[in-house]
Amino acid sequence: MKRSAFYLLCVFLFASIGAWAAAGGDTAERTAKTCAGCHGTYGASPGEFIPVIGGQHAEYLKKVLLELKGKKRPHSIEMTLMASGYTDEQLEAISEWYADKKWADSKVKVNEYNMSATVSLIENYSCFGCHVDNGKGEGETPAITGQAPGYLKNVLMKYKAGLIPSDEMAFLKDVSEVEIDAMVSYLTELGRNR
Amino acid sequence: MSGISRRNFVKASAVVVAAAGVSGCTGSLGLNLNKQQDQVILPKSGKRVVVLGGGWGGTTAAKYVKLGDPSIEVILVERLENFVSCPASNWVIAGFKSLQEITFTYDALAKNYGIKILKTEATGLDPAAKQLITAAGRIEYDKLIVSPGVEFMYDKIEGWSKSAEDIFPHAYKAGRQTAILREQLVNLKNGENVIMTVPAAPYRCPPGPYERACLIAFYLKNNKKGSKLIVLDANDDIASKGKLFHAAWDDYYKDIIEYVPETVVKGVDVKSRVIKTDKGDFKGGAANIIPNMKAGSFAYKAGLLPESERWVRVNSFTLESQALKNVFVLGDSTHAGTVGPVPKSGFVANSMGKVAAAAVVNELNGKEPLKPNLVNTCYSLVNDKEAIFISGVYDYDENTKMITSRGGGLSPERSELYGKHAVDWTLSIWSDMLS
Repeated sequence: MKRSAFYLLCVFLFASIGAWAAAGGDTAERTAKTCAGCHGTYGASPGEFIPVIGGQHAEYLKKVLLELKGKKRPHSIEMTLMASGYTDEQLEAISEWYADKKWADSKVKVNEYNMSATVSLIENYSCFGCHVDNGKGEGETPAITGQAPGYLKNVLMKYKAGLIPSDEMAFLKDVSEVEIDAMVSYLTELGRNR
Repeated sequence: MSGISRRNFVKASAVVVAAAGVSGCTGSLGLNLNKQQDQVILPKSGKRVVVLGGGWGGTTAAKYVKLGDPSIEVILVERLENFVSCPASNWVIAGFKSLQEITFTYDALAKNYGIKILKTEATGLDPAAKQLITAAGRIEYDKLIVSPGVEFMYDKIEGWSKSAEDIFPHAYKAGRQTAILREQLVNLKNGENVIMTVPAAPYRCPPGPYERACLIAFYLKNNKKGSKLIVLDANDDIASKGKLFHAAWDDYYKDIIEYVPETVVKGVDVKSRVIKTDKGDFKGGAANIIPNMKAGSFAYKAGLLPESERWVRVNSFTLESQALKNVFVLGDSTHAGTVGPVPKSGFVANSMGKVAAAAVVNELNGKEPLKPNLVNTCYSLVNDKEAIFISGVYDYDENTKMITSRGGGLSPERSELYGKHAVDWTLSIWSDMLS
């Protein structure tokens, strides 16, 4: 009886230390903070074109960083070069550290768009079928609501052009840039308005 | 625009003085000054970190000490009213931004983190008593973080006088000097040339002069018919991002920029506005002399380095001074030979601020310091839209006991997206330092 209580206590303690500690602890603490020079303190990027990473899903961040390092994801030259400077373990630890931070919705002003038409588009493409919970996403599917709009558009245009291989995002081939613009504005605003 | 430029836009910073609890004013008489300097002000009760220098390294260190342990009292000592960003100041020279858009108060650091901002000049150090000596009085510390920036070396320029700085502005500490160079360009007559001199490496921000050359050339091309920019470089070639800058000069400014490498400024004639070099005399309607540099003057006053040396020797693991215990040194003033091959950039100073903050927080809490890790990404605009960049990741090497390069590289070409990232980067890093 006593032993099982001790065991439970241990399980509880380990779980509460937090995932990033398990994935490297002080290693993440010392390596992750430097990213804020571009992404803002705790990943709350204030600009239009550099993404918010604080509070993004760890599995997604890991996947992207490892793909960037392996030159399998040509979406950012800067990040391909940065990722080359870390071990896989460091990239995983950094991902856990940022996932543990609070998501900060982008405050950037967005372009005007037709709300009802854009909501229909998002429903038709079933964006929130994968990016569940109104775009919060889960696991390897990223949070997209409240993301920096310039970044979001840049990435969606690269999916559209087939530059980032993805079966799920292949539908963008047939979506116009005007429609992408509208969806980006809607998704960014949805963050601050939720 | 970002929230920061609206919120922290220059205004009377009564809050700053109020937060410090003392006036930044010093007596007008020497006697009063000395008396004040001898008294301990703001007596210390708990753990305290004093940060000297509200630039890129100092602001970051102050904020990250508080993020690491809010119970530590942090006092930031800075003699100037406002923070004016050196990165992006070339954009002001070219007219893309106003000086006000790159100028911020320290209010948010006081308001958001409880950092005490003390506006006064540091005049010396008493390392045995662990006291920083300032014009406002002595300030006790447990750990002192010093980010003194650079000082210009005019002593080897014959004919130099204090007034020469306004005739041949360096514009390499942003603020009034930036405005002077901008004004010289605006007032330039069509056909008059601009002269710019580049110091021998190492100096603050290696690509800085060459970005400036691009942007001055951009301005001349669009506004001053027949005017040229003559770049007199003490180095044998462009000191950073050489291929990318040469490509931009060839493609956009072939008829504007005349590049003269291996040219050292020997003297000036302030009256006739002539710059004398080992390749002859040059005269322009506007002239920007970026002189050789060494560690900021406080580093010498504090005894962090002898007069015979230019950069402060530090322990690469914690950035603690090799000469003085409990004094940590950041940024441009550090000796790369003791840190590792990192550039003297604002981003590196920002990273160094985090390294020193982690080291002092851990030491004050009886823990081992963490291994240092630094990052650098530096964008340079080549015109009003396109940018190039260099980036680097640096980590501590157990074998060499130095910070060493682990990855990074140059942008493959220039692009408008990098130009957008350049602007975004300033917003992010300003917010990381100041809000």
